[in-house]
Amino acid sequence: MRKNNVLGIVFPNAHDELMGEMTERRSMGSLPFCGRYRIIDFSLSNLVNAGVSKVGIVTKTNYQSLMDHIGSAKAWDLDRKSGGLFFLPPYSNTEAKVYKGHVDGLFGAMNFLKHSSEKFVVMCDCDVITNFDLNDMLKRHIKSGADITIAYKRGLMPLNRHDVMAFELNGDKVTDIKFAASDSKERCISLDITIMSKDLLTEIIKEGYERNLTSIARDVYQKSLTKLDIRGYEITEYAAIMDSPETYAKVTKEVVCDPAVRRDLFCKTRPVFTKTRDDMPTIYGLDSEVKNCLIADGCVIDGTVKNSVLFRGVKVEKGAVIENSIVMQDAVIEAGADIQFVTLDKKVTVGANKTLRGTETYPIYVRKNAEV
Amino acid sequence: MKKTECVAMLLAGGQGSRLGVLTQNIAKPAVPYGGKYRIIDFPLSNCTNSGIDTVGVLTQYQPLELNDYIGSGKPWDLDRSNGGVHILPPYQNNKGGDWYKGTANAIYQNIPFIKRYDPEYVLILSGDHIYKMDYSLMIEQHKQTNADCTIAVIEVPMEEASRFGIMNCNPDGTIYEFEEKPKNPKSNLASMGIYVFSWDKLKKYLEEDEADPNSSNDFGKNIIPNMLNDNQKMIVYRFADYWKDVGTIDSLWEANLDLLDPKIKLDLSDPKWRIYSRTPSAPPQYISDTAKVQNSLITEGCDVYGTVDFSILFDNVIVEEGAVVKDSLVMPGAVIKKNASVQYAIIGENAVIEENASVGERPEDVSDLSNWGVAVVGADLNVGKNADVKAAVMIKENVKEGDKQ
Repeated sequence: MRKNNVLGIVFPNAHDELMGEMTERRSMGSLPFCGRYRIIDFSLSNLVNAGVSKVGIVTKTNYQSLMDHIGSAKAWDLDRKSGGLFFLPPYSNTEAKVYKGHVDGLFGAMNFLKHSSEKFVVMCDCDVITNFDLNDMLKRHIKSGADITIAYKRGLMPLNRHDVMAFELNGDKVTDIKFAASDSKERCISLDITIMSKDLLTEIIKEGYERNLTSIARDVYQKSLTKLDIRGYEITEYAAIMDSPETYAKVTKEVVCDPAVRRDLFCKTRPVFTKTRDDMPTIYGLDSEVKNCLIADGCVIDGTVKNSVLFRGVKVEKGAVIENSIVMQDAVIEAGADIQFVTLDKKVTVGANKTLRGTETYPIYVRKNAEV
Repeated sequence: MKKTECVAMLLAGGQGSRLGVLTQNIAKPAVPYGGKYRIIDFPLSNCTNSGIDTVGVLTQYQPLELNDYIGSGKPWDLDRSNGGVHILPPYQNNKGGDWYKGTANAIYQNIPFIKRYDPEYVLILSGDHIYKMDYSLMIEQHKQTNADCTIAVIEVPMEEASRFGIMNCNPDGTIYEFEEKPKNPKSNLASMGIYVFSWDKLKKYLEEDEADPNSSNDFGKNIIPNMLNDNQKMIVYRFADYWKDVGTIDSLWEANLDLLDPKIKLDLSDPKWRIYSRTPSAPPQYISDTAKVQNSLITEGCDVYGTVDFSILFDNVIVEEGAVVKDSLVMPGAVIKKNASVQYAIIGENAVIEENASVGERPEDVSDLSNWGVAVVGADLNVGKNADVKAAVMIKENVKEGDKQ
């Protein structure tokens, strides 16, 4: 078996600003998700499961938590002699600055591209949660002879984004790109997972940098539809676009409540890799009551937990009640506390008998290390 | 090569025949424990936590799974450029080759391995026990006392002492006599099978032992008694924490469920002394609306729709709606189908208990308690619909629909 001819480039900082306080000190890519993952795990696992063995991560700001998480990239099997994982931070060469858009972000990564021998490049952001067969997309890209293939899903436009492409398609050929507002109409929404040849990408970046372009979607794809053959690839598996803390809560709820979503995301043949923490299994105490929950290892549950997600190492003391909430790692919910529709960031303590209530449409967010 | 102060040699070749069907295809140290561990995680994690970074693992019986599990040693931080974990199976040299004849012979055959590191001390371990121990303290005592051999001991109840190798020692800890399973034990200090030797002494006794054609080449039977006869300085190292042999079905079942007993001092969640393991990439566990989970240990990849009480579910176990799992261990990948019942049982890896089948019985439901015991279903087996597996039965082949065993 020959190693595949594809280079991965991931943008963990894209759309950081949409998540408010949740990404104050971290990137979108390192946002904890679903009990034991960071969002970037889905992007990296899609690449790795398709046999991609060289991945560049174009970072911008707030990337310490991300570097912590990735470490030597062993968990994704990307600690390689040949290929492997590369961090591409700003200022990586004298001309590169903190970038504004993908074009100048990639310009900073030009050396990485130049020194890679792979023929194709897959680019993705970290705001999309999906587990799909990237290999199939690649095969289709090659077979169609397209210049660029971009993955899309059918659905409603995200509420809080104005930069998401909606495709008009003729077969799989993109005939028009619109940046449509959110309404009740089902569209073909770009998931910004893009395949093209390395040569074409290099050309686009060079020209884009010279013309001072920032958005690859608005300034390149939309304007080159007559010149370039751009195709869409439909992802029929579950795919969600993170565009706000409310969406984060909503998507989490879908994963908890819908077995079909879990089957798609945690597909057995394409595991989602993440950094392990060597926690012991979760202990369910004598007085625990747990219903409809996703729970990671290392928790100690002596209270009641319903319709919620507990990350690793969460303690739920006797008489505490957690409903419709997301509790990130190492949080402590002390005896008799009662939380509903709350997202607790890492290492939050909710004191004994305290009550915290958000609503389904407006969940309360509690920042990292806070004591309530 | 850089000098290494202490090399650990882990005897992992044992079959563990008393575990029956559970060790049919795997060596005893590879037997799953505690939801996400295997027995060998304990000595390996103890080594790495004690600062011992050179470990030889001696394998012989069914090593495939164990080799695969240990791999490069990464989960235990034992993938080192100098030292690290090494699998040491029996091998052939220009004089021919031999299986490991006994524990001492296994080490003897690997003298060249130990020599490469030129150690002061050699730590001998086994892969049969569940315990957390700081070996560096034991080595420190060995140095302080200038001993030739230090043997870890634990106090056992006097009435059980005749099941162990007993060390009789003076008040200062020097051993004057070793008795293997004595009828009338003089002390209750049981050997834990953990030895620290000064390397030059161990080498000498291994070579002498090998030259003796009548020897059974065993540490307990030959090396230790020979050293005692020669008045070598042998000292006990007292250990007082949790330590359990998992050599039988009952003790394996007990040692697992000890994790659910708050009175028992075996904390696997201590961040300062983690027990590391190779973990599969599985999603968080899902506990459904219909599930009832109490007093149990469950790990990632499990889907629970039924009742789980006082039990341990290993990774990727599925308990379907209406199924009941009580007082049991369900090993990785096993499936308990709708309305099946598993009580006082150990279900092997990837076994399937079909709908309405029943495995194991509660002791109070058995008329003659002397026939009661934990039921065991071997790995990859299938217990058919409505089948009934009684207490203390060990299932080695698929059970047909409706069968009673």
